[in-house]
Amino acid sequence: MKPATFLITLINGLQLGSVYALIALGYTMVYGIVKLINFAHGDILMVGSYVVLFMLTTVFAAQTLLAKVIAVAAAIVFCVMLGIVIDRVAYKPLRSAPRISALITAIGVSLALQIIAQLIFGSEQIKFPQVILNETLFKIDKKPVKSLPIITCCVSVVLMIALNLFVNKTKPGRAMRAVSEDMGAARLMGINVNNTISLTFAIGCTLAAVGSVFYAQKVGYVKPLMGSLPGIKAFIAAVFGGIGSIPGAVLGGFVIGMLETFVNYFASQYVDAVVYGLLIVVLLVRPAGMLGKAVREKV
Amino acid sequence: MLKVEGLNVFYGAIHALHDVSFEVKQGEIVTLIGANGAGKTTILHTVSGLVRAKSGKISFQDQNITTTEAHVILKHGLAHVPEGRRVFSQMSVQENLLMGAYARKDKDGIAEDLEKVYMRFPRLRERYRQMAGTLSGGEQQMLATGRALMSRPSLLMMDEPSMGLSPILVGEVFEIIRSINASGTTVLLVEQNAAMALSIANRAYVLETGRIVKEGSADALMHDDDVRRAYLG
Amino acid sequence: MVKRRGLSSLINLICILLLFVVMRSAAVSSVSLNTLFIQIGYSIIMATSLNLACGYLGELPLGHAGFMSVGAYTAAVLTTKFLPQSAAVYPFALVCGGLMAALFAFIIGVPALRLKGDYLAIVTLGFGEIIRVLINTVFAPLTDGGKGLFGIPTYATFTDTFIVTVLCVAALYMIVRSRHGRATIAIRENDIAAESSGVHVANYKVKMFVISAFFAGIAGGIYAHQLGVLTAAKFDFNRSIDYLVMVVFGGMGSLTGSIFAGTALTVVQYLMASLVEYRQLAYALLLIIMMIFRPKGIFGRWEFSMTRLLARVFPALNVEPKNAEALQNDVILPDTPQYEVPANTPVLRTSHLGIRFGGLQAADNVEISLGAGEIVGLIGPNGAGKTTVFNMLTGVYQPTDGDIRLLGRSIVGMKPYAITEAGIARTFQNIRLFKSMTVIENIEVAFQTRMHYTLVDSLLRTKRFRRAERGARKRALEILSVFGMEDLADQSADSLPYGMQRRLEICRALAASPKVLLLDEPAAGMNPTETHELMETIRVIRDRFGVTILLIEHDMKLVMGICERIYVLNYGSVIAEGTPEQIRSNPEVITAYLGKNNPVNDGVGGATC
Repeated sequence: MKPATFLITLINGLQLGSVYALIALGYTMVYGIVKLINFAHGDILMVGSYVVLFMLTTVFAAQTLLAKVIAVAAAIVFCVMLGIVIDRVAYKPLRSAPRISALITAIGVSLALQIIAQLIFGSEQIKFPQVILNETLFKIDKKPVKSLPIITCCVSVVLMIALNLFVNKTKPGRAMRAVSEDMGAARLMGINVNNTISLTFAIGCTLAAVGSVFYAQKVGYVKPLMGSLPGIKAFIAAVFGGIGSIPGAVLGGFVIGMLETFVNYFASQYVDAVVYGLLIVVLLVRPAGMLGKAVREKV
Repeated sequence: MLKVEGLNVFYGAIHALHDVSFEVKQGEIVTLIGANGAGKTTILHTVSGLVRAKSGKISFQDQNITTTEAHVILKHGLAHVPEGRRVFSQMSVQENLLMGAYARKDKDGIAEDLEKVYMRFPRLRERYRQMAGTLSGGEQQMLATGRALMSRPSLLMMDEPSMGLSPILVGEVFEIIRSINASGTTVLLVEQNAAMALSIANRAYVLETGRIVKEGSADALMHDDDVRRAYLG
Repeated sequence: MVKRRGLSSLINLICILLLFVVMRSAAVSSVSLNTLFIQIGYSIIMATSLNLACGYLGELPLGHAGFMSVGAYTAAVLTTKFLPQSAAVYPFALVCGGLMAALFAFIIGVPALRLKGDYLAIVTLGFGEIIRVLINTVFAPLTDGGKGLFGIPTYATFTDTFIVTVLCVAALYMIVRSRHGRATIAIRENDIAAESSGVHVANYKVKMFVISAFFAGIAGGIYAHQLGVLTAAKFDFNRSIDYLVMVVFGGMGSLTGSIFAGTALTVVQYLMASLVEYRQLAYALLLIIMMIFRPKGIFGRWEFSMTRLLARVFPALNVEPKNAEALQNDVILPDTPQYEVPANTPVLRTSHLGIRFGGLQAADNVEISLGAGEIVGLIGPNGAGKTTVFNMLTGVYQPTDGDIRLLGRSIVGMKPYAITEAGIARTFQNIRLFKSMTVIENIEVAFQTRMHYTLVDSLLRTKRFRRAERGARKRALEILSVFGMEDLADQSADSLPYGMQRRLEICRALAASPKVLLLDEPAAGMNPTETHELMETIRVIRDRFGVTILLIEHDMKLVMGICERIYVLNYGSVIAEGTPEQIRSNPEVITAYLGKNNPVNDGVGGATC
């Protein structure tokens, strides 16, 4: 591998990694608070990119900067509302039910979102317009370094830092941590648990909506099933880092993204096997993930 | 101050509370005693809104709070120290105490009350940055109590504060309850350790399988033959 | 209830034959019905086998389709490339497919089943994905890789699929209703209690996981020989989810449910085959609505029984076996081990026992020794390390220093189930019963190490199986009767009042026929009357079962009232040892634990406080 190729691959890996990290944060936060693997989270990503597409092709005639900003904002708002509605309608009634029932419900929601998208937009893939500037910044050894990967990484890192501050330093953040530890005790503190859970879904969906723009532009198209793959990968990233842990999700996202990009360079047919293989090894060595805390059950 | 009338609570098909009525007056320590599973904890959960009553009325300071949400009830001045303490073990001692003041907005008042709690429990001040999960059982009980006090309650409900504590700590915990009451907070106490509870309470109610079967002054109940036989041994 | 085995088997056989005749005549008349019935067959096998791992063992495998693919490819490669072209080899190929799937399950299960809950789910999900990649790459010379395996002989017919399905379901039922199934369900209910009742948890998890995969492999074989073509892509995550949906929909822990849901959902998919999108949407919404309104699934854990149904309609069928009384005595009782207590050796003795968690010394240089038939107390402030000592004695924690000798033999390093077998049983501070099981089943689980019939015995319902099961019930009732609980035998454990639950836990511990019984806060949550009864009970247990008792307790009246000797623990070390009188007046114990003017000293509780 030449140094230039290495650098480009590295940048691509970071780009994919930051998208995974953004989605993984949604998984990890929801899991942390309601102990649910939200299988529909990947599909929120899909919905987000369709909203952007819809705004830029049907609502606005010209793809001006303003139109793009509004489109992204619309995607965020729509995804947040969708996330909250899904939680209230499908997950909330199951808070005290066995966890696997909620999991099956999440699978149902995921299927439903995919099929609805298919009914509205058709099952074919549609080209995704350019939303974020993707100019060549400079060249290394005649290979261009583009702006999209760089912007993706920067925005993601800023969002992650903001999120970390929010959760650890603010009052709503503290409420989120309290609810995730003990819902009943949190209610006794005067915390509105349902609002706090909605807030968690809202944050997760915001990150997914932002991620959807980066992801759709990277792959260049949208289609109803586009969310499953990054969804599962991001979920693996969250587990890899230690589900429930915010720094863990970020670490996991970047590790999985980099690994996938590099393995893809050498032996593309083995990408999935390597990613899952690594995950299995990590779980066997550190069952709670890289940064997760092992909880010893009290006997 | 707190008045409960004709309370009926069901868990699925199980009738957990039958027509329970009792009241707590300003400045009192009232205790609910009874066997495990008699419904003591259910009463506290229903009063603080964690469990919904099927019928009956709960009023607190002349306001009907029967259907009020748990997180709103706290703002009326009613705090609940749950059974098993349930501190937030992944948070520091100080963060736990601040959680207790979550519903309050008066920064100065919170700071003042934090200081008061630290005065009352110097052990918590020593460990204010420690994770609550690493505290011993007795310290966690102090933290849970301090956390509840941070909401500046007029009525403090405590569920089995002596559970699982060694004899020396049990004495200490009851001393604390007495001093909290002395500083003006009304206390509703649920206890397995009936002898201890009666020794500090003004009045008491005896529960059996979801019904109140006896009530009276703590003194009278302490000398009641049935109570002595069943709960004082 | 119909108690005659022969009658019940006959009824079932007749029903199955009737079903076969009806379905077969339909299958002969229509090719598409024939196809549908075969699909239903392997779906039922997939759902019921997944239910074993999911509903009974309580794990959440997300890669069941992976095992199906292993079975499908193994059987198909054999019949297509290696075996002679004859339907006679089909059963052999199916079994090979099942065995290969079982082998894969073993390889993945041994390390992965150490993980809990969702993590195991992820590992199996990963396995399901990896196996597809492997089929298309590493195994491509055999499987023809990405282009798919063509020309598989279509051996699968309605008749053989029906027979295989019935056999698989019957086998699963036999396994579930045996001591092996009981152990499995106990793991689901409470793995820690199961282990300390003598169930080799790790072993059983792998065993059930492997059995579950075996049947998935068989189903895969049928699938391959119906379709005639295989591509790895068919066995994706969605297929695993399809079967999981069947299990949850029908009810986790109900084979009836899996059979019903396997049939119903396959039929629904078949009927709506032309309306792909709307069908899927309806399917998705159905799932969501179903889970919201009936999270336990249609059948929960309920099982259908034709015999029971008929018996309700025709009460004449309710007959006791002719030889009921003779059967009562024709039993194999669970073993009662003969413990040999070497002369001049304590029953249990620890020396320099210590454990360190990270940098924290939780117990240090603990020396405890118990003589035969003694009742000894272990007291001390919260966090002094009392339960930690129990956990070391029972193998839940491995001590970092020192030795534990039971009847002169070191038990350090042994797993909890092996220590139970060696003669130490325990109860738990926070009650750990197998809640959804009946009272008597709770006790029968603890006979695990004292019963010997094999999995094959339970599959074939051999005489040995029946005699041993009757023996287990008989012995369990005997134990219950000591506590006056024999009338509660068939109630579910979680319906018992609190005090009874504590007693049941003691019964369960005694069922393992221990030499040493450890009681962790047996009086917690009891009122003085109950505590008083408990003191009596503890004495009775000691006399009747000849056990040595070590108990942790905060209730000083109980401790001082029945313990012959007491150890006091503080900060992980023994600070005092002696008779109740010595302990009561020991100044160090008073400062650390009892407190001055404590109620303990005047005996009436807190009146002086």
